[in-house]
Amino acid sequence: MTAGDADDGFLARQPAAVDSAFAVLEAVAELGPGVTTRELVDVLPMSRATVYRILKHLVAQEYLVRTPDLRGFALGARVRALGAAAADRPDPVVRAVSFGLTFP
Amino acid sequence: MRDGRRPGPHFRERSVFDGLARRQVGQVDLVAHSVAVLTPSLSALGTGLALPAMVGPGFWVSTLLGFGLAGALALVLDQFASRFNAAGSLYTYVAKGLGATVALIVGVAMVLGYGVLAGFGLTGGARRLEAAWVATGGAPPAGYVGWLVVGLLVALCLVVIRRGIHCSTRAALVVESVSVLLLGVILLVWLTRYGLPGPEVFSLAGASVERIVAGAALIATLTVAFESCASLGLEADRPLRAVPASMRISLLVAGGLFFVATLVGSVQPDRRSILTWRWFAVGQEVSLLDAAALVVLGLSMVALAVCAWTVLSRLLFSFAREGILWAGLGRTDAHGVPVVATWCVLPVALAGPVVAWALGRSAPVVPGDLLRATTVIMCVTYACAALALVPFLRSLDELRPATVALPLLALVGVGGVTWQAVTREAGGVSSLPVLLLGGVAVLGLGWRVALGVARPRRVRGIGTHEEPLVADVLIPAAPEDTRDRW
Repeated sequence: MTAGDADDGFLARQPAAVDSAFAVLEAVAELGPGVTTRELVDVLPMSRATVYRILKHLVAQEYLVRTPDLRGFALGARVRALGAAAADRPDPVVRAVSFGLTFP
Repeated sequence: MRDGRRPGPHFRERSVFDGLARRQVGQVDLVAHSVAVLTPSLSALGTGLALPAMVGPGFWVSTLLGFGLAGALALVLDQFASRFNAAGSLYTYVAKGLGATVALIVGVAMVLGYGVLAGFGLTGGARRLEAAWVATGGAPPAGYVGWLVVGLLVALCLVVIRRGIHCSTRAALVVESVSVLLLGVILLVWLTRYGLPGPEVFSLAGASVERIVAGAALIATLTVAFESCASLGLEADRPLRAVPASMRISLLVAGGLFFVATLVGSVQPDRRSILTWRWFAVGQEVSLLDAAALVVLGLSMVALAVCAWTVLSRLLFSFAREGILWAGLGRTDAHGVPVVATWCVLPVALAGPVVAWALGRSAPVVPGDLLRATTVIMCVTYACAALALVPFLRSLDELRPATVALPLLALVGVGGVTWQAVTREAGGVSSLPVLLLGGVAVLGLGWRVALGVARPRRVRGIGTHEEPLVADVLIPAAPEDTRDRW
């Protein structure tokens, strides 16, 4: 989540829980597989209880998985499926986004 | 950690538990499995209708306390089941928190508990089918007929289980739907016959705390094995969501039906109709409606046997795949059924009735004493799981104050239920639960010592859970591609 997201009013129009869930997903993606709950609590601007609750929900929905030692997290199959679906679409706009291009 | 980056976790290509039919059980089927083990219609039509007469004023407090304790335990187990998935359920949960020795004792306790439960389902089903025959006007069958019926039910269970987990859980769903419908019809008939309960049934005037607590303990024992759906986690769709939800929903369904039955029973606690299994035609020998009801209840008990049998086979399968029991038990067939483990459950399930027969019972039955003693042992396994929660969460650095209070509350409740069950006999402590518990502990310790001597490396693998596979994870690109980002 960037400052630009907040500037264009995106946060104000969305339910806070959705924003928090995406923030957790983005933090896991940025910090890499194996990131722990404590590390996420340290970097995210939300309470420890909120981080726990969102992690539990995202793991239950398989957007995140726990690492084999159960201490860390990684992006799960459903995130991969989203990425794969975007990459496979013939729509040029979708393909451009999937390759990290931006539009004015 | 190199270059400021943590070493990446290693994910396997194949599961240790490979071979089971993964993601075959949906949420509704999983709930049906859990409900089938609780047999809500049977409990409501027996203990539920009779509870107001047994406890007196305050019977509804007993119901709330009994199911409340089960709910607290469900929240404790939720902390495990939402973090990992394991066919060993309680055994694996305890292994994560209290280590191999206690886990093996809990494993032995679960084999005994689910074995007795499967035997109870088979013999209870046979008894009700025989009673249905009598209710149609037939002569009371001889003792050997009961064994024949048990044999037929065993064959039926094996056919259903061998067709795969989707088939067996769907069969449980159909049977439990019909049995809940039957319960609804009987409760409506009773309401029509005796009238609606008034607000005075909630009065606590003249209530005895002792009887309320005893009633709560009795109800709590009816909820034993509510966690059975956790054993199907490997075969469930989205198990980390579905398993905790199924535990909660099944307790809500069973608790709600039981509560309604107690209210109906408070109007006219007709113990004669409950004891003689005549809910429609009280006092009559022949009643086709009651015969039909008994057939449905008999099938509900067969569903209980199928589900308990399934849980036990998954537990044995799990032991085998962890390398602490004969590896052949881990073999699966084309339907994803652990076929050898399934056959091995048969002698365990029939042990109770056979021992009772050897001691002089002519009809196949699981003795009430054995059933009560097994309930005590299952309560002890729940206490172990509650004790395991705090060290488990501490090991993950995820311990919070609320998660300390929860197992403490559950421990107090389980301790009370166990004490009530052990001291139920007038004049002191029942010997059978204590002896059985001692036997379980000795067997578990013996198993631990044997493993330590013969296979010390295997001991470290005790309590293996289903790890995410490479296919379940979004693996980041190779380091050289991502170096710029870091």
